[in-house]
Amino acid sequence: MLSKDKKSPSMPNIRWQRFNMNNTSLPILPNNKIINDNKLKSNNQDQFKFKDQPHLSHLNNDNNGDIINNNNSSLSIPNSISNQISIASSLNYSNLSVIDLYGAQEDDVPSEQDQDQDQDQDLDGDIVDDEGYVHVSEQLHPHIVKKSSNIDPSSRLIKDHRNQIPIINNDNILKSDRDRYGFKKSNNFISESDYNQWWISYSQHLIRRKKKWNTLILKNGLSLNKDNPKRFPPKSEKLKRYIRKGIPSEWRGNAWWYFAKGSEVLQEGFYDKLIESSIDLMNKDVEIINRDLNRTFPDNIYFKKIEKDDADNNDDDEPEMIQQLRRVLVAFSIYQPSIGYCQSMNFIAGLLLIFLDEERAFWMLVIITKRLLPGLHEINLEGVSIHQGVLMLALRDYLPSIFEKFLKINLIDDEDENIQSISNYEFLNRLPPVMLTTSSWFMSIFIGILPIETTLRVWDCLFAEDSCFLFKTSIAIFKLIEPKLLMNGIDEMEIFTTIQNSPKYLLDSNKIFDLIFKRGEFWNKLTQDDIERCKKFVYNQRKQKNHYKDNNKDSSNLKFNRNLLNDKLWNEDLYGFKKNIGVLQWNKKLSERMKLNLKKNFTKS
Amino acid sequence: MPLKKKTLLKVIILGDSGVGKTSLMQQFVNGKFSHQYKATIGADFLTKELSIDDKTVTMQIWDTAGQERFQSLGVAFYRGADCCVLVYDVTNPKSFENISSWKDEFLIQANVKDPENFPFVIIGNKVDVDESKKAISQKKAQQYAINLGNLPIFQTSAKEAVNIDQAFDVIARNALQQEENEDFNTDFDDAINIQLENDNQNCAC
Repeated sequence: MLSKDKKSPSMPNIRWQRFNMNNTSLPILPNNKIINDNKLKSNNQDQFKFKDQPHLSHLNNDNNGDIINNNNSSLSIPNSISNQISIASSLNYSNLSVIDLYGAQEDDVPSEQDQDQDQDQDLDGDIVDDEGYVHVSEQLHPHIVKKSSNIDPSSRLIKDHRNQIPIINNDNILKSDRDRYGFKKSNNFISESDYNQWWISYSQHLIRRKKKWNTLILKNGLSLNKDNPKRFPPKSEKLKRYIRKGIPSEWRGNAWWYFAKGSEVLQEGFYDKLIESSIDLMNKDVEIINRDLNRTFPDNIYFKKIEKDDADNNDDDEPEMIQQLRRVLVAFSIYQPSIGYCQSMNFIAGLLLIFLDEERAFWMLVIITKRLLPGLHEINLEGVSIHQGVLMLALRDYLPSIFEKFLKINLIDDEDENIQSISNYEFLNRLPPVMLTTSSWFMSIFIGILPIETTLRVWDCLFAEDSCFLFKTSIAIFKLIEPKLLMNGIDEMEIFTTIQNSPKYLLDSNKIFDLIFKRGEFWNKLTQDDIERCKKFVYNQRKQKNHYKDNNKDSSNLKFNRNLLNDKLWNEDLYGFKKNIGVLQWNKKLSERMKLNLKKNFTKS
Repeated sequence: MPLKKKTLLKVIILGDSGVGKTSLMQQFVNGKFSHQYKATIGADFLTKELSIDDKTVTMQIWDTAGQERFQSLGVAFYRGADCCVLVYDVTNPKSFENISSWKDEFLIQANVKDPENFPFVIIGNKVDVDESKKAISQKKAQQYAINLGNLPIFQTSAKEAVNIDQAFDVIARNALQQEENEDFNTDFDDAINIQLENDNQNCAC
């Protein structure tokens, strides 16, 4: 009855070394500004090649043969657009204070001087015109529930979605029980009065930012296009700062599309064809999609089920948004069969649909799953583990006490007799259970995790700065809850509760954004390059150990087909590593960074 | 000597997507039902204090994502579970057929020491629906539960709070029993462990 014969029954030895110099490919996260990664910009583009979708070649039978299966066409910016960009940006270029691509990492937080400057610009009376900045008293949610045919693509008009986000009108918001996006203001964590109190001051921030954005657009010689700009200034430190302080919600759809380079991937008419080919499609994905439609934003006015007597519960009564959501998700599942449909994509697509028309929402979903978070939603979810592994590495470097805590509540009982032979990176292979909670941060891109306004600001930065921003956000959240997590005697359950619930109170997005960009905190130096290196490292560690595991474990009686795709699982392309990482060269640089890191840590303590 | 610890029961709810796992947990813990639950991503958990025969315990209930692919993430928190609840939807035959797959999956991932005697409880949810919509008869389900190892089975409605407390009472009792058995083993393991730790073989310096 007692496990006497088990020699070393429990507690894996977790005396890991924090800075292990022996492992040559261990990625070290930045603690100082040494590497300038302005190569990134072009890298992203290079890597964003659509693997052909050969299974869809039948859709490619008429008109322009280049709708699909033509990498070149989807890679280059159409001439017309790039011309317009360069003309537009040459008009008023001298007004841009700093011209540097995202590599430069100076002063993420604007100095007071900067702020004063911004203020001056606002005072240039004529800049903010009626067109760009108006308070119209209009109905809060102008077009709820429009009807359209379920599948006829021709009826799917490209709407001007911007209108869906009403311009800030405090009276309306304060009186309504919903926010500007149609969500309920109150939930289990935030009361309506909390919301209102916050909104009164935050709306001032929004109004101030909008003025500044108007100025920025005009000074760059771009058009406000009746408060619906389609083109945005070229990348600069100033633009980055503006994005970090929030893009006006009325513009978000266009801005996301622009910054994520949507026009590079959009293939005219292709989405409609996908919809046509999805008529009457019934498979496992579609089944789960249908089940999730009403479980996406059930409290949102656009997605809300139309309450009726049970008896005639008819699909025709579906809100327009639900129909759009179905079409986007089904089309995607056909387009990208290696992903199909993964729960959490319903939230992503749903949020996109609040800001963008259906077709662009579809392509944004493609961009998110393919370029920004490659591998994350794939059938086996190995990409989730890779991202969570990177988060663990980041915690280890930036918030080591939390990291240690997580390791301690890691698996206690252990059947793995070879634990000693496995290096200190076992935590990458068997992620601590808390990572289950944080995996949804990435999979849903914080939808439903952070309050909506905060989520939207994270999204702004995601499209402009890539997935490294999600890691920064995650670390900042952990930093905020660090005192709680490190309390004496906190048990595993309280740790989980804290991680699960705390983000939901973060209504004041400035609080977390200030922390993300706080001067002197190393994580704000985290570049996409670092993340890519870490991803690759985690990938290699896991690959190695999983092969080991596969050979040692009989999983033949698993009915679920989790292992069926194992061959594909360890395919680097899946995770879109954005560059060839030259390990040797890279380590040289990094060893310097590491020394600095150690020194800093040493002097700190 | 270990002091009397707070008794914590860890319960995992598994089952296909949309069978009502979140609703069951919410109904039991918070006594309410809503049409507004979102699809669960990763996992959520709630806790509830209970008393079982004068003994106060904390039940930690894990609600999981039902989509198959999420299984690959579940490994870590299955371990240490004291009871596993297998849920199907009485209107969805597929979800019923999958019950045994969920059971197998759990046993493999949770690495339980004594699979034969690990407590499972089966719940057929959504019995509030119209009879015509029911695809799995109570009789069939009961026979199935017997075949799976004489598992307790309940027909519940999270929506109308039918049989919820009864089901969770059995879950709690079985979990407590399991926890007490486990505790006994763990205490013994700890004793061995101390000796190993004193042995400085694994020193990292």
